[in-house]
Amino acid sequence: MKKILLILMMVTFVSSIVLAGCSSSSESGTGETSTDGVKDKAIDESAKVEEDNQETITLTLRHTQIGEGKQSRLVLLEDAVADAESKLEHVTYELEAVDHEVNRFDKLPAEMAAGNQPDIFDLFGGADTIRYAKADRLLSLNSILEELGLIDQFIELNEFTVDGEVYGLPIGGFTEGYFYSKPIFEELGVKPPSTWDELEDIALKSKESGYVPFAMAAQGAWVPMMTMNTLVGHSAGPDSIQGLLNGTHKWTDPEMVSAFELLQDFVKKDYFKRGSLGLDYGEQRNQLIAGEAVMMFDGSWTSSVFTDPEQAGDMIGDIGYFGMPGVPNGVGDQTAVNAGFSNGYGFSSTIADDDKKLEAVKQFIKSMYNEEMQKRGLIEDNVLPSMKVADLSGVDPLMSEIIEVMNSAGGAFPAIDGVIQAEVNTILGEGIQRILGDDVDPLEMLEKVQQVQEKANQES
Amino acid sequence: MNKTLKNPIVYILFLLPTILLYCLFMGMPVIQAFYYGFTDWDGLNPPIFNGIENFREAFTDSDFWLSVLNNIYFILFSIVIQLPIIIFLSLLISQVKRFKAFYKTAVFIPSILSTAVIGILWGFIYEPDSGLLNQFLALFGVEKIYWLSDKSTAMISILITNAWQWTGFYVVLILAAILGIPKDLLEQAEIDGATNWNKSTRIIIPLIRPIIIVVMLLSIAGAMKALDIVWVMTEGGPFGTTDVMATYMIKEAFREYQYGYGNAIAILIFIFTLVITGLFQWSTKNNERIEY
Amino acid sequence: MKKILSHIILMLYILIIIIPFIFVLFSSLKENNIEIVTDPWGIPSSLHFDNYVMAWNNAKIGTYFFNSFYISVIASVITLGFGAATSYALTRMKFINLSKFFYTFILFGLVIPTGSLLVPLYKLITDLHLYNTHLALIFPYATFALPVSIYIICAFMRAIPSELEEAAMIDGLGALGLFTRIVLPISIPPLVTVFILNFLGNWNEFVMANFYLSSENLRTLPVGMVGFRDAFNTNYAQLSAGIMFSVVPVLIIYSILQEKIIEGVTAGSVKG
Repeated sequence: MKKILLILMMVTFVSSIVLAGCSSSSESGTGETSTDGVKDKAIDESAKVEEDNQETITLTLRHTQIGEGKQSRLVLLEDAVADAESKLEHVTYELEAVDHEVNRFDKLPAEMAAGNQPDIFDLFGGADTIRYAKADRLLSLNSILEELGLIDQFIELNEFTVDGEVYGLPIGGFTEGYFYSKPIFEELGVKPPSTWDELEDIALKSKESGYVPFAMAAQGAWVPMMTMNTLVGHSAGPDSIQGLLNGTHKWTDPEMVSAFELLQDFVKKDYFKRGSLGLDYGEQRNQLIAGEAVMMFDGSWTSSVFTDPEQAGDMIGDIGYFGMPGVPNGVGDQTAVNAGFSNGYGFSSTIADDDKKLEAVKQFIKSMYNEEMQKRGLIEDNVLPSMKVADLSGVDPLMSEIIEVMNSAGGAFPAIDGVIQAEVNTILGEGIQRILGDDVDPLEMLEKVQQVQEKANQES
Repeated sequence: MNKTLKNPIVYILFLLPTILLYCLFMGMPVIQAFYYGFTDWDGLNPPIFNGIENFREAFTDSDFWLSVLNNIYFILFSIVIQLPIIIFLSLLISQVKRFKAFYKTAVFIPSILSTAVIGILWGFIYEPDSGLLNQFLALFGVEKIYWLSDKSTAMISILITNAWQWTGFYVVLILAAILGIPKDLLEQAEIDGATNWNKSTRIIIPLIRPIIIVVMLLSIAGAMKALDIVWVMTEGGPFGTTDVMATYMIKEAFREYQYGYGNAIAILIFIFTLVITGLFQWSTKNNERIEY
Repeated sequence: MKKILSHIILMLYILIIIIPFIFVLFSSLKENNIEIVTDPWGIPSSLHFDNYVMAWNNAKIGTYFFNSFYISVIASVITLGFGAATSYALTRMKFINLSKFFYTFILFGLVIPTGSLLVPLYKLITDLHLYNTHLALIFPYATFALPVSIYIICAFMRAIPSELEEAAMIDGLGALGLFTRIVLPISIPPLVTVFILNFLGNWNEFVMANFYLSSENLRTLPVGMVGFRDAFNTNYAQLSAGIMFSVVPVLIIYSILQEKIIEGVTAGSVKG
């Protein structure tokens, strides 16, 4: 016992010397193995590899492909990384998975503030990109894209472009609309609605037959915000969302308020699953698959779940898709959809002076963003391509329905949370959750949002 | 002889590591909090000194006060509801002869588990559709309760989980004090014909008053520190109704890029904790000494 | 009669504590959500140990377990070493006024709510380039545990009769020798207590580990478990198996060392 304690003391004092900065060389004696153990594990992985072999470099790659629903996307990423690693000697990409919400709202913002973001990371276009780009945290990709001849290959890079510099590359496109259960529609004797009244009618019939009309899992505010997003786009017009920033539109405008009242109306009529505020995003689709809910407003990326036998079970092939119908007294084209290219990968500005890492980033872009991967994304993962793909054959029927809705859309508007500032997004998200909890009057809530909006507009 | 123990080199060598760690990892953050708390800082651009603006904002920020209120709920729940149960259970265990050790061991179990894991476990129990609690209540015909997603039940659900975790810990503390009471005192009471109830209220509780005060103090300190359990179970939701000061601080700083404001809240947590524990200690100081 | 009533009440309370674990144990062996929902109280129809295999693979519990273990040990050992040395200097060495000052200074740390330091400490951790290394946890864990550890060790060391030291000094021991040969061996009981107290605290810590680490293979068990819940929150059977993995080892250790653990954890609190 005595001896053990003595050793412990030695260990701690040796590390205290290291701490005081007197010497970093390892001490001889009983303490050696333990102190080295401490250091070894604690040193950043990349540094360790560097010691072993000067040539090898490691890039950290933060992705959000965790859980069953994102399995096929993870496979694509892993293949791209394997390809990149095979092309470059002595380069490894260290994948680290973080939950989507944790990454976007907690981890990445905190890391960006501290300047210790990973080398490659899952990034959203719009407000997030603008903020990080202005703080010089993102790597400008213009020269790389030029060199790789990719600059014209993307359908749109607007959301990742700030002052002419491209800071991120969308992995795919998205649109949002209603997924619905074909068997239940049949049972109720209804067809996909083309007017608001028809939608209401289906909801009412569903409710009367004991179903939940709309699946909902609102623990993350961004989930109900998707429905709200399109309601706003239809009610206040496609330009209204961007207009919030320059003051041409206000949250308190009557068309805006009436959009929120439509959501409130759904809540009052008990059209959402109760207790939705405690449910995580993944449970939304389960309500549809389990035959508990009839319709679900969600993004096109979700469709991969419904084509995977493991996850969709008996419902495979039984899920359809339609765009949200126009709302009463809506402004602008009522077939417009929420669509864009807002999720992809960004790269840390810290690697700008590191030629080896730049090379590795270049290879990653080459392996990740090419026609083959885009096509595979479309077929295997039901993600709309973000690059120009000549051959669109082989998509599954659900995906064709989604593409058709997009093709017949008379316009598009962006995702609200990609446009408005973080602080507005927070209070708006909370407000939408309050509506779902039947806890607030929309106008009253929007007045507060508008206040924050004006303050945020002033500051930027 | 005194010389040996006046060896300044050994003295410094033994103190320095502690003081260094202490200053670096506790002192520095405190100083930094006081610095950044008086700035407008988004974490990305250089901080700008803005005087007491952050504190002015805090005092008019209703969401912040809601989080303060939730900390107060934590305190009230532990003192008004948990404490009597704790004392009651301790008395029961102290009076039984069989299984005493078993009870003591068993009640303590939740206190050694990770709060994060307990949060997950209880999230599972509170699950509206398949959770244990609703399934149990359904046996009595109670309708589904949306424990963590309804603002009227979310906070109490967290408080119950917190109580589940820590009740046993305090029971063991108080039990030790009860068992430490000299036997002859209790025997004397028995000869005098005191009933069990009388014995408990008249003799034991006054004798263990100091430890009860310690438990109250610990509950208050624990309540002011509450963070893990809220973060894991609800992240402050639904719509911020279960935020405590610490979770609110994290959200303001990390999610909304209000680092200056976040640091100001850190200072406020610090001050509130000092004031509340200070007041409590002052109010119980007068007649603390009980001799036996 | 009265005794029976007491036993009934106590057994009820024990039931409240144990039922959640039994529920999780049963759920972890069931086939899927449907079996859990339709028959929550039932014993699993057949034992599905594959949930454990899948949870182990999906959640990387082995890695997280190892990380938690060695971070907790190292941080606790640092606290123990520094704490013992400092307590010795403060209580046994003859720098009375200086010691009084340092003792008060260190004990001031007891009133700092460590949660409030999360945000400012994040900045410091980054500035020191410790972010996403295990040192980002080891240093704060070791430091935050120092005040209470020193308090406990000091209380013990102060009570050591000085005759022991005097005898040893006659034998020619110096201050260092007194510490390692005389005071430390005597102080083993409080040191064990302090070690257990700090180890459990570090083992269970969640928030700092959540924000100061990023890489998957560096994560600790609580963070890993929460991440696992976020990813597999709709698969209750697997989630239950994951919970079992993180709970059972602690219960086993507790069943062996319960007396010491109870003493250790409660000792940290009796400082009023």
